[in-house]
Amino acid sequence: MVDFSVFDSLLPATFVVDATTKVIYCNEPAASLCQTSVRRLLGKSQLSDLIEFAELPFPFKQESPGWDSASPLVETGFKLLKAEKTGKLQVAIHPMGEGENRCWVFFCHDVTLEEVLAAKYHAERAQLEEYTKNLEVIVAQRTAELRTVNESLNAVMNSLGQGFLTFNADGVAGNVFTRACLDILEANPQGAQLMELLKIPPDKNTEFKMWLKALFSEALPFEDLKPLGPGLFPHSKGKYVTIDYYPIRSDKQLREVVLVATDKTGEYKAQQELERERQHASMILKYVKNKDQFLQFLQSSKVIMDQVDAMLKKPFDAQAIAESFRLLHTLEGEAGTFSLAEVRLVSRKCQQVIEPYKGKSGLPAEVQAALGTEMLALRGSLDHFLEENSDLIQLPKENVNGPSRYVEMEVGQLKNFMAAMQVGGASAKIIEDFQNRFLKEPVSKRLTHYDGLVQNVAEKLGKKLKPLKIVGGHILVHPEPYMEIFASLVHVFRNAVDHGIEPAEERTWVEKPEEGQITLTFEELTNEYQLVIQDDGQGIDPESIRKKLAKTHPTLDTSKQSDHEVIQNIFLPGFSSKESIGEFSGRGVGMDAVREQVVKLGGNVEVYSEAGKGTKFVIQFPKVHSSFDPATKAA
Amino acid sequence: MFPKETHILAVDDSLNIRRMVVSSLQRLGYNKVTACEDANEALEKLKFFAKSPSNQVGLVLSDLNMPGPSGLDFLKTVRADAGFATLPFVLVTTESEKGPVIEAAMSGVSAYIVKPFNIETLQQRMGEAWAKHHPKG
Repeated sequence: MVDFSVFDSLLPATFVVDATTKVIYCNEPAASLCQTSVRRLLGKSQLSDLIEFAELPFPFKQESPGWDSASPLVETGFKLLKAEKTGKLQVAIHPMGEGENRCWVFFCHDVTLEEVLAAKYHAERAQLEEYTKNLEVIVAQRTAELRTVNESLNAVMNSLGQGFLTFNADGVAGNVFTRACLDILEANPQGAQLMELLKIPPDKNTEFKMWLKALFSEALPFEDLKPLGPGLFPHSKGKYVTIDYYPIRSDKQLREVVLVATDKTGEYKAQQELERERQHASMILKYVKNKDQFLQFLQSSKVIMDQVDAMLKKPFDAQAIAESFRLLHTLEGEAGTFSLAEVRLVSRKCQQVIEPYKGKSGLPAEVQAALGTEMLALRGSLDHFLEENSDLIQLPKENVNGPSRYVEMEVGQLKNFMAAMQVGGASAKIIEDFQNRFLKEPVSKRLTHYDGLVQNVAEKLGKKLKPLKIVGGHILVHPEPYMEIFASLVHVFRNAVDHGIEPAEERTWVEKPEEGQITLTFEELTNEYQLVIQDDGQGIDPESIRKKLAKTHPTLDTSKQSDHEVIQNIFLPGFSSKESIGEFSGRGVGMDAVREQVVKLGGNVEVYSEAGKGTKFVIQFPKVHSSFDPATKAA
Repeated sequence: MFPKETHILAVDDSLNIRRMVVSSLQRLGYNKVTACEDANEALEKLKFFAKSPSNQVGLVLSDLNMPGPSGLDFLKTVRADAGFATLPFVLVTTESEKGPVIEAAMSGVSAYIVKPFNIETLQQRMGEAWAKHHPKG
């Protein structure tokens, strides 16, 4: 007798009936199609009492002809006889077994589900439209794009069909297969060699034959050998076809294997479409919320591109390589922040051109020329973005790329000018607006480049790291007083990657995600700023700090200090917590440099650690008011 | 699960992995673990312990990709010795190493495990390998 549990994990509702149409097997989808449970159906029900099919490939009677051969897939209306439900099914029927054991397998694919999926999709569209509620002009354009998404979703629904076939130990396909194979596997599988059918390349032939042999001799359990076989079908038209396998046993021995080929192209494409839509919606939101920063970003990208182009006029030296890399990296980061996917991608490409030459004294002429070409593409991608969104971003194109004149002014000069405005009686509101626009900047501007640093350190140490997460980066600050603090954070970041985040393999052993995460949170309190840098690494071991202190600071008595107090000693001058001097964070300067800068400004720094969970540096420093700040004026 | 007193021979060229395997196995209660850094050393130890009935190796856990003889070479050498024909042998592999794993399946490997994995999965795979050569009843 065949073990029908092979059908357990199939998507379509699957019934097996005997000659009296009694249900001798059904899977979960089949039970839910009938709105009942598998237990209630098995052995107790006649399929003909459960479902009325409007149309079947042959009359639904046991003595009818047609019961002897596999039927093609037909679409038919259906009605449940024991519940209130009607809908549409795609049905294929296959006979199995011989003589008294003869039975028939009904594969039913419920296409009524389409409506459910469509409704779900409509909800998502409504949400997207909500986002753009105030931007009527864009809605028209978005709707057009959404239509393509809709079409892709329809494609998914139409392609949910799966191709089934069976094959034996010789790798030969059997006579039972579904028509969908013709389309999905691009061949009639009947009697075909599986190796040819699946287009196994010649250099993998031996491996494939050995796999078949291992599979049918059950050298390892079926479930273990399954993932070693071909998992994707190389479709000639680029369809995304996945392959899965299920065993058919009789007398406990593997006789045949069911191969299920599923076309997931539509799903794949629709997901990509939706992702693009989300990106776009997110860009619009960011633009609406942070219009000033967005325009500032557009202008700074123009400055960056001009700077790199100016450098390109002469052969690059080491400094030009480093500088242009840094500039392009900043551009990539900012483009990412504002969800400009293409600009981000192209700036990444520009960096890749020069990356191999970092630290070298120059660029070969052809590499420099290649960078020039990529820079053109970069300008092109920004132009393209502005053109596509000209209805949204009300910015004359010349302002970014054209001949418009820029005024550069030293901050000191600007302050003098503002002082003069103040004396001249300009209102506090105007002064404040001026400050926010010209003197203050989002704090993220001073912090985003640390992502490059931590990624670089992580890569060299063979660790995996998610992009640095910055919370509160939009907060406006006068950067000048805090430059040294911001610069000293390099030690905190290096320590976090070097000592905090564990290697990927070690993280999986303790069941953490492979990639570590470092988060920087910036907050504006009443009289001070708070900057928190947190990692999800292994934490600081107070015992090893104690041991280390015994060597580096023998006169320090830590016996009465709590664990929390002990770990504060990492800020002592001359402390380095690693036995050997690491490349990144053991160069003699360390956490004491951070404390020094913070204390100099009247702030403080404290470290919190939880073994196995991570480390948190909390840095607080007072706001330093500029002479134009209304708060100072009031005091 | 297999007996806690089983002598486990762990082979991996990475010191970190060896340390983690040993400490994780100990946490699970397997205190008899011998770690080796390559297949040659492992073969030597395997033969050495075979002489002492109370110290015989009961299960091998070997990395596939190592400098010198690979885990697959090691497996073949082990299986060529009649004394080790039923020694549970677990191969540690990565996603991309399908070919050698299929060959290992045909060369008598007891189970394989794909990196990265967690301790529970490792324990389960080792249990399956053990069960394969120690049928119940």
